[in-house]
Parts: sequence; structure tokens; C-alpha cells
Amino acid sequence: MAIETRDQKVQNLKDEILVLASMVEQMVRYSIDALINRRPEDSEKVYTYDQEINQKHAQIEGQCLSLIATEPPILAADLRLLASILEVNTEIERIGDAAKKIAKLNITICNQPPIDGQIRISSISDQILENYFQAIGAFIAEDIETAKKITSENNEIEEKFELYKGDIIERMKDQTPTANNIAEYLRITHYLIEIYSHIINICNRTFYLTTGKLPINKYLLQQI
Amino acid sequence: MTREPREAFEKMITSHMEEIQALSAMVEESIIKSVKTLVDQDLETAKTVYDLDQVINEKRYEIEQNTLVTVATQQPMASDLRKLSSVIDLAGELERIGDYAKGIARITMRIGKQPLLKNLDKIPEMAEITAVMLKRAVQAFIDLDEPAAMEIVDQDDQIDDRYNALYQELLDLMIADRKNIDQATFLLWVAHNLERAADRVTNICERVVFTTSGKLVEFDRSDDELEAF
Repeated sequence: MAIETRDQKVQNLKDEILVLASMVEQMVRYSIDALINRRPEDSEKVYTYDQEINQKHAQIEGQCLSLIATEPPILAADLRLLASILEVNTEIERIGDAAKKIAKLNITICNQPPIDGQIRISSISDQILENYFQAIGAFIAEDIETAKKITSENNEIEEKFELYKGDIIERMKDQTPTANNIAEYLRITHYLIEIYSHIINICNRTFYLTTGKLPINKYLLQQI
Repeated sequence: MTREPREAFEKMITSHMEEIQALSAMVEESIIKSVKTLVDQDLETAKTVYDLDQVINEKRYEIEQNTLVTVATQQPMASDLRKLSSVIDLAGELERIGDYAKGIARITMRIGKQPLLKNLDKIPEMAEITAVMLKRAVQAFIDLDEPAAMEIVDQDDQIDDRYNALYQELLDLMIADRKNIDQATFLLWVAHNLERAADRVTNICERVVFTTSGKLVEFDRSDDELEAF
């Protein structure tokens, strides 16, 4: 068996990040689909994924630190790359945690009477997933331009969040008997925004990785 | 830089752990102060809490950099590597808790001087409990005290109870009068931030278990609730 070079080991780590990102993407999709289709049983799948994701996260962290310890990076940029892999690994895992919170809320929602009409969550979740793909891709390719583009284009998603929040509040007023159930969707908003803030953190890491400078463009949950 | 003798290496590990304790103290103060500015409607101090976040971020990156240099130069094995990886992880968790405090300071500034909707007792209580949990969790990490870490997690119920009660009170206010909606939405964010800050403390406790035993545990009780479902 050929001995792996250091570069190959770094590439393997990047590949593992892509695997983890894909697992978490499935987790987010399941949690949103379970919510839209009012299927609490599907929320169980999210929980199944969570354990696998925690294992994968720990595995990547161990691999990355072992590489730093056994084949120390010579250049500052190499150390930044490995530090950034560690951080992005955790950001992705935290996105999985937020998906789990959404799954938990879905169980509460499904135990209460259904509300009239569909709450338009998919327009937000679709955009979040699109930004997630772009952010992961930008990190792997060390593509600062795409990362900067995502962080500078907050307006579109903020408008969607505003519309969504306004819709929920109007419904709460119109459907007082089910107002509490509708209000659970406000909590869902908090977790969706949290996922979005993790995506921005991933972009900020790409910025740090490629420039060596600390990001100052952090995304606050209260921006909306 | 060359590999240090064992005693010197242990001093390096202790020094990184102390850096975590110093960062935690900044974050605890930030959480308490952010909520105090909200209750007192002290916009000037809110701005200082908001600005403190940049210092917390810089400290976090400094700890991360220093610790990784130790890993690269000292080539630690097994339990030492776990300690150092946990230092990096905790630095990240603390920075995120700092973000929640910054968010609360921002809300204080956005609410400004408009009269507060209600008595906000539960919010400072949540902040106090979170800060105490955080201090104890970081101490458990320094002491590598797994039983202490597991005890701290139980305190999260006190946060959840207050969060759920406050959530309901704010919803009632929103439903009762449309004029309350904007401020109540802001206050829901504050409650959410404190609840999430306490969740992050739980993550730190999980990390204490990992550091001492190498085991991955999940203290999120929502797993139990799912089984009940």
C-alpha cells in the first residue's frame, strides 16, 4: 500500500468534511420535510442521523489533530487550513444540532391541532440549503470571492425571514385558538436563522483561511 | 521550537486551560451585563458589551492558535491530545456564548427607551443561572471532574422552565395587542439566546466527559423525550 503524502492526508480531511456536510444536509432536509408534511415519525430519522454525525465529527477532529501532531505544518497558512477544518467541522455539526431542535419542535407541533393553510417555510429552507452548499464548496476550494458574496448578500434572505415572521404573527392574531401552535413556528425561525449564522461562520473561516485576517462580518441572529 | 520535557509540557497545557478560564470570565460578565443593560435600558453600557465581543473573538483565535502550535511542536498522545482539542473546542463555544450576549446588547439598543412591556425578572434569572453554570462547567474542565460536569447539566431544567414560561407570557401579550408584537419579538430573541447559551454550557459538559474518558456523550434530553414519543 502506498504511503500517503501530507497533501493527500489534507485532501482526505477535506473529503471527510464533504461527507459530513452531506450527512448534515440530509438531516436538515428530513427535519424540514417532516415539518412541512406534518410527519412526526420522520423526525426520528433526524435523531438517527445525529449520532452518526457526532461520530463523524469526532473522527475528523481526531484525524486533523493527529496530522498536526505527527506532521507539523511548516507554513502558517498550513496551520490555518487545519485550524479552519477543525472549526468548519464543528460549525457543520452544530447545524445538525439545530436540525435536531427543529425535529423536536415538530413533534410538539404535530401533537397539537393543525393550523389553516401552509406556512411558507420551504422558500427559506431552500435558500438556506443553497447557501450551505455554496459555503461548503467555497471553503473546500478556498474561494474567497464566493464566501464574500454569500456574506454580503443578506438582504434576500432577510426579506424572506421578515415575510415569514409577518405571516406567522398575522395568523396568530387571526387564529387565536391555535395561536400557540402557530407560535411554535416562531421558534422554528430562530433555529433556521441559527443555521444561517453557522453558514456565515463557515464563510468567515474561508476569509480567515485565505487572508490570515480575523473576520469582522459576523452574522447576528438579531439582525432580522 | 523543540519538544519540551514532560513537566514543561504539562505547564503549557495548564496555561492553555487558564486562558480558557480567563475567556470564560469575560463571557460570563458579558452575559450578565447584556441583560442588565436591557432591564436598566442602559444604552451606553449596551454599546460597550456589543464592542467587547470583538475582544472575545480575538482572544478565542489567540487561544486556538497557541494551542495548535503546542500540538504541532509537542506531538501529544491520547489524553493530552484530547485536553488540547477540548481547549480549542471550548474556546469556540465560549465565543458563541459571547455572540448571544452581543445579540442581547443589540436588542437593548434597538428597544431603546420605549417602555418595557412587562416585568422582566425571568430574564436576569436566566442570565444568572447560565453564568453560574458556565463558571462551574469551565471549572469542571480545569479539574477534569466528570461527576461535577454531569451535575451541571441538571441545572438546564431551570433555564428551560423559565424560558417556556416567559415564551408563553410574551405570546399572550402579542395576541392581546398588536402594538406589543415588535418588542415581544425582541424579548423572545433574548429568551432564545439565553436558552441557547445554556445549551452551549451543556456542550462544554459533554466535552469534559470526552476529555476525561474519551467517550462521546449527548446530554440533550430531547433524546429522552423522543423515546417517550
